[in-house]
Amino acid sequence: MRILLVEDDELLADGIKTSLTLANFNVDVVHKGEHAVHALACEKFDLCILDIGLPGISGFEVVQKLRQAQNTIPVLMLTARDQIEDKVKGLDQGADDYLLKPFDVEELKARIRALVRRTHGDGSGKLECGDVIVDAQAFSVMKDGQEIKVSPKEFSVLHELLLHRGRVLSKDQLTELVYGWSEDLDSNAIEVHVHHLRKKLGNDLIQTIRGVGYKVA
Amino acid sequence: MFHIASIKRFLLVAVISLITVAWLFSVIFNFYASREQVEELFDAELAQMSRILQSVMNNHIRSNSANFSPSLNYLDKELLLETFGHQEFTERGHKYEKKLAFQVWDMNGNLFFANNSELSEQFDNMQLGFEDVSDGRMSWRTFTLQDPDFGFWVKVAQREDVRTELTGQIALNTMLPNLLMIPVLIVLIAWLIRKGLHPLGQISNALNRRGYQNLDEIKAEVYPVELGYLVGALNDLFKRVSEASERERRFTADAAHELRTPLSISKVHLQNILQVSDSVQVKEFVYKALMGIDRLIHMVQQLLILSRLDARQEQEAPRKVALLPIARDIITELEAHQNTENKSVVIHHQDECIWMARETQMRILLRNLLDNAFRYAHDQTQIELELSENRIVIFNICDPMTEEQLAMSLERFKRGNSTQQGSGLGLSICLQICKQNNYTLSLKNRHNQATGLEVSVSRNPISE
Repeated sequence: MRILLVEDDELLADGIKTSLTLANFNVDVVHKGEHAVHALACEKFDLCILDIGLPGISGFEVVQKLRQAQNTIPVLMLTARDQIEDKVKGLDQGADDYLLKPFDVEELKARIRALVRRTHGDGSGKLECGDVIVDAQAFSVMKDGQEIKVSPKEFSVLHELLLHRGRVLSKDQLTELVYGWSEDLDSNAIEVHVHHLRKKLGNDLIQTIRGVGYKVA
Repeated sequence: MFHIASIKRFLLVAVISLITVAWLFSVIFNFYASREQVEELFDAELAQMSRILQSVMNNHIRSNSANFSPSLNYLDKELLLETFGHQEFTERGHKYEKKLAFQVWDMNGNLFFANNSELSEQFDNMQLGFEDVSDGRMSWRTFTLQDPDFGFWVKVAQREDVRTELTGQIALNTMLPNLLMIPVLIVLIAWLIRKGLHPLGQISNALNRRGYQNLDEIKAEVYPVELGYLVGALNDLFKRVSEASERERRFTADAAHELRTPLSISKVHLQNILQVSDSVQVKEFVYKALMGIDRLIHMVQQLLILSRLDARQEQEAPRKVALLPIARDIITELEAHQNTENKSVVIHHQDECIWMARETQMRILLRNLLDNAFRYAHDQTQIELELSENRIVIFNICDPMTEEQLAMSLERFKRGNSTQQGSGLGLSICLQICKQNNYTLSLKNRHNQATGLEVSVSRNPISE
């Protein structure tokens, strides 16, 4: 799952990125509101963690611009402002949740999962397709009731395809969602992950749309 | 040093006393002065009448009218009453005519003639000039002269009682306006003093009515010059105190707010170490560091609450607040966040316990009291929360506190048991809330089935 973290404090951003990466989230970081607006307009993310007090345009303005551009990405506001008025303002302008600093990393991860569930799933946190069940919270993949061992990146590819079920995701989109901006990777990495997933889960689950990308029907 | 309890009363008493004393002095002086003047006037009249009588007699003797027999016929007493009734004078004369006496004596002491008066007709001790004569029954003021040509004596007299009565009446008449003026003057002075001190009273009432936290300027009304400076100085003081208070509040709030991000950084990185480290020792150290961070976070949160209490009080009006659901919420929240597995809370209550209060403050108050109870209660014990219409009582079993510890526990940054985690601000915040709402916060050791600490918040009758 690809997350855009918008936080002006580099030390904190680094800490959050490490925490979420350890939890198999793919995190990209920007430090300014303008950069966040640009990144969200140009690339695909599953969720945005947004600080309010940013240099340049504030978090309130970022979320306002997002919603004006019909971008429905879930936004979790992360801020030191604890006043009710700030919370109300953030939520009214389009944020989906609000977490106050200092926070517990486990709470942050739980809120991210809850937001993604609300946006994509049925609320249980589990994504199903035929006999395959993907549980993001337990980080597990089950087929016919049997747990299938998958690597973190394989899990991310499968999770993204299930999150966008019925839609075709190009190789580039999947690469961005799974790897983000920071990692150097082989151009065939997605193809390799899809190949391994097909070996473990069968060929019918992930369909190749020639010249376009992959999808889960 | 002379102490003035009330300026208004002091001015009233002082001014009215001074005026009364001055008036009494003036009245006494006027009375005697008027009487003396009137006495002199009467004496002058006596002398004048004597001279007229002497002149008439002298002319008569010169014209050899031996048969002169002046006929001064007065009306008798009954006729006098019938003629004048209660009137002092008519066209027939004056009722005081008989109070005047005339006697003319020849040089040998023979009474030549006299009017029908009660003045003694004795020639003995005839003295020239004025004389006060008394025959034991009646007093007279007399004037006697002797004709230089023929040697006859003329004596004119006036009854003293009549003179005294008239003199008294005249003197009294001069005093009467002053006498009537006194109550009018007192009323006027009282009104003027009240009117003059009204602006001072206005300021005093305005200051008396305001709460202890109200640092608003006194409303700009038209005050007299003398009070204008005072109001200006007071408003200037209020402004400076308000600014200083606001600066202090802002500093605490800003400091607490700015601490949130570095605290987040420390907490996140420490949690990351916990996540990646395989070393039990490192994990143990990091866990302790995280406990320290959490304590710091709690203190920052309490500091923020403390700094905002004043502002919140101004923003939030008291309304009906049900304490029971709030207490239940807080207990659920505390049980979720603290290690409260071995401790439980039992609530004794009457209905929902509705207080007229500020909800935010009641939440903070109950949260801090229950949080303390959870922190300091012994393991495997029950915390008792009693909610009633006028009282909140929380009892938890713990080590008894000394009197000194009990007294210190309401001070900032003092913790009842220093081995416990806490900011030392919880009870200070409760105390401040209680002060703002006129509640009474008290702590005491309770020894019944078990020894413990009882913290109670009592609502005074005038709290609402």
